[in-house]
Amino acid sequence: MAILEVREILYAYKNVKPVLSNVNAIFETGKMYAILGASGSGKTTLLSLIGGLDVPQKGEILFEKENISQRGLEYHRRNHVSLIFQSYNLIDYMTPIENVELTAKQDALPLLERLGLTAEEAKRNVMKLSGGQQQRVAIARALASDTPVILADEPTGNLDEDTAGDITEILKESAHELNKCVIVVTHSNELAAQADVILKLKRGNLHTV
Amino acid sequence: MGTMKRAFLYVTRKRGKSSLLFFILLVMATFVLTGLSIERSSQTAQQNLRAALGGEFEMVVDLSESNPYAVRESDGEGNVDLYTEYPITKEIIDTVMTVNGIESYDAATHTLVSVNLDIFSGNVPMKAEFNNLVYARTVIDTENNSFFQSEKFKLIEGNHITGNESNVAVISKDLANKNDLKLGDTISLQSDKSVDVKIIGIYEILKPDSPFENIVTYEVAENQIFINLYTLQNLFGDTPVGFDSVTFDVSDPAQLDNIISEVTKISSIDWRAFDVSTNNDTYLEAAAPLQKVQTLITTMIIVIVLVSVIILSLVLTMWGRSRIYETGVFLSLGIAKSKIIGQYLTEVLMIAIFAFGVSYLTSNIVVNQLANELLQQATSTSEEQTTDIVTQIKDGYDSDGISITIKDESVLSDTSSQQKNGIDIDASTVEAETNETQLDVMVSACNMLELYIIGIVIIIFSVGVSSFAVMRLKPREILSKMS
Repeated sequence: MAILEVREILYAYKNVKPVLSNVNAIFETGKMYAILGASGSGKTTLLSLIGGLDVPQKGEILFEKENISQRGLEYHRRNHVSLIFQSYNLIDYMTPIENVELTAKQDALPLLERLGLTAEEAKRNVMKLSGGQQQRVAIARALASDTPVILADEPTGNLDEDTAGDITEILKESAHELNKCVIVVTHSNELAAQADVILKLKRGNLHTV
Repeated sequence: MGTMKRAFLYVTRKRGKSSLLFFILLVMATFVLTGLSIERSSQTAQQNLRAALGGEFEMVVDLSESNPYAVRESDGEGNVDLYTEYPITKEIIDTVMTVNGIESYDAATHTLVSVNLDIFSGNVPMKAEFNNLVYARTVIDTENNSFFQSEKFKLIEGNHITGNESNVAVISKDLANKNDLKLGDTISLQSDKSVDVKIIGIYEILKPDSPFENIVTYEVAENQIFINLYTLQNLFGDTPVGFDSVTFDVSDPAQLDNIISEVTKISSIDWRAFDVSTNNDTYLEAAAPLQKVQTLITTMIIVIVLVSVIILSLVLTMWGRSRIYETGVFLSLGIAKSKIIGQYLTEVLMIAIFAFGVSYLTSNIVVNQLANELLQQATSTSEEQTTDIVTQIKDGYDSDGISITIKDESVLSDTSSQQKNGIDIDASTVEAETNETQLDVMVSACNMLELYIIGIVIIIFSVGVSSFAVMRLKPREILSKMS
């Protein structure tokens, strides 16, 4: 089911040729999407626009056929999308449980345990966890918010191969088992290969691979 | 997770920053609270001083040409009789007394009358016609008259004149003894008419005239006869009589100008006939150090508040930049900017509550020391001035056009100087009040409340300033700064 639609998006940084030009895409729930592209191709910019962190100069982004600006980008970020970053973006003075509770609409500990953290690890300071564990916490936080769309920017960029595989599996499960729309921006062909749909950003346009 | 919990977690987990912020707020609060306490104590001390000293203004019959009721009569031998057809009557005094803030009054006038008594001679030669004249001093009541209030005279027998009796007098013990008079006896006073008055009181002179002063017969202390307005009226028949001057006492010398302004607005009194002059110099002299302290403290509080805002804003701005990552994360999670600022504000307030509480102890330690130091400095600058004035008062010194008169030494010999410039300062009062000017400062609950209000305003302003730079950015810009 189509949940998110990107329509004729144009985005340009000051005095620079548009990084995104006439981008169109439709995203459905229950699928994992991978957006590939060279550095500077506009992948993260597109993800920021979809995530309501910025606004395009032209075009619109629709969530369930409603422009996301309609109810405000803050509302969109809080209720429609969850963001996962390469650098995890966890709050350093909180435990994993507390980080998840920032957005949680469900119990944090069972979710963290499901993603492979022990109860003891879930109560430590989050900075004392490994990179893989921190990314699991970030994913747990995204899942705990119970939003239908998960946006992940290079989620495995800082992880070793095994951990990256685990994270990819979690994201895939989120799409298939939890019926989320997972959109992953990545350089990694391995990760992209696991996606249901692969899109490529080239010269400002999005193409299906 | 709510704003409060996030703030609590930050404060308790970032102990280093919290401790530093606690210290900054404690220092700030100690200074502000100390300033507030001293300021309030200074205000209280000034209020007490005002209440203790009071102030007064004098209403005097104007005998200059500007008074349309003034009459000048010459006897053809060079003597000029000056009087007014519109004197200060009891009705006028009662009208003035209706103005709020006036506590009491003392009205007096003196009239030359001849008496059928053997009187005491002065040491200044006079024409024979003046040799049997004495001053009949008309008062509202002798008890509140300045001679008795200053304890120059003391009633030793009989009763004071209260104003309700007719044809009664209070005379000196010396005059009574010289003429074999006692209470109940009658003496005859003569002016336009002759009136027999009954002696109802006898006073003793506690502070006699100086033998080195030049005193005319009718001014000799022993010759003074006190009568009331009824008796004076009987002495003059149909000619209107009243008081030459009346001194009104006000409870708060700081309100003196306002009270006089109200008084002179009374339309039923023709103010062309009177001069009104103030006297709150005693209060001004005694209050000068306290006012200096208050000015100093007010300035200090303003400076402390400004410095606090600057320091706190700088510290929070620095920390805000280091928290840009956290701000970006919160924004990406859909937490509203207002809630993020609310968290930062709550964090500082949580620490401030404790810091302000502890400042109660630290302020109490430094407050008295600082207050006395400030007062000493303020006093030292005005001490020379005050000492000079006290010395001048004691010496009866007249300088810079200010006539300073000691009530208990020279009133009798120069009553006109008492009215000159309206200055009438009691040396002992100035000295005593100046010496008693001390600040006993305690930090009160009211000071604490003020501190919390000022502190919260400072914190809100500082957090607002420090958050402005980050919060005006778009979430993506913040996240870009993060990466």
